[in-house]
Amino acid sequence: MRFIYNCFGGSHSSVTAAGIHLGLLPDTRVASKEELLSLPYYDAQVSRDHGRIRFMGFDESGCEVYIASKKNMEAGYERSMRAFWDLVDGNQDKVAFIDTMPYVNIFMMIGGFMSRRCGLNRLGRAIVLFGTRQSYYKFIHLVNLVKSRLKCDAPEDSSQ
Amino acid sequence: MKIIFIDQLGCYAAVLAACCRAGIIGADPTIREICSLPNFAAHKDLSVGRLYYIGTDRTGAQLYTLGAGGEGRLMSVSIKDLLKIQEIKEAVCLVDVSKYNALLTRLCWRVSIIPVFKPAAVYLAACQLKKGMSALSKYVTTQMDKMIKFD
Repeated sequence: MRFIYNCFGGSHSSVTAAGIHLGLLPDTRVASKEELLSLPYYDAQVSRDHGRIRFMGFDESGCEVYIASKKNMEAGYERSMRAFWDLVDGNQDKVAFIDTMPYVNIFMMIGGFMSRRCGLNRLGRAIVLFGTRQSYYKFIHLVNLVKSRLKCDAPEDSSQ
Repeated sequence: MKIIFIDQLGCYAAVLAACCRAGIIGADPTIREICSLPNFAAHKDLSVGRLYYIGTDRTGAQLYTLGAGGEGRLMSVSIKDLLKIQEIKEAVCLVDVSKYNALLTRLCWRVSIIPVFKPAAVYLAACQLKKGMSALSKYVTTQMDKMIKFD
């Protein structure tokens, strides 16, 4: 099973949710700024990376966790990917697309825009970190939902 | 091999490009021919992510069209990455023809959602696409040539 967390730029909300999923971030308290900044790809993606599916790690069940950016495609991203997936494989249970955009607040949007688009890294990063910490429990809730609702089929060799 | 032509809704320039590749139409089709192409203007709303099967070309490759909103490049990148992740060996060729849907064509598909205006909007879109058909046909040929050389 592969989990692909996706958001607008693949820099903040998807990375945070993937970090919680993988245990890189705490799931009982709000992560500190240092913990968030130490995540791979956090506030690091640029426009030419849009669309890239980045590997984040293996979770405790051996499932692969990825992040992706989809810009303004909203639900169309998952629909397109699933339509394509149907064509080449057909087994829709192998991959789960998780949209993290509903949990993105205005601070994350403004901070992300300033940091990634306008190049105002220090100010934008401070705002986006504040926003991420504001929505942090929502991301924890999302990850818990994903883990509980989607049956995680670990690869055979990883359990040995 | 599968060849997927991508445009915003998967049923305008992408259909023309796929039909051109399949040999259903030539480089200078009539408007009536364009309007009668399979899946041309087949959308009922503006939602993206629909995949349409068009046919096969002379090499036996299956031709599809995919609607990817305005993000053809992003979808191409994502699809290529997904193929790598899942270790799928099947050859898939993605051709983004979104830029051949002109402003008027994009306006027409919005209008065509209203059933009363659909025939007129489809006809207008076909007229607009016919204007750019020679460029589209050339683009498809060069992209395919590049792909064959690359393989």
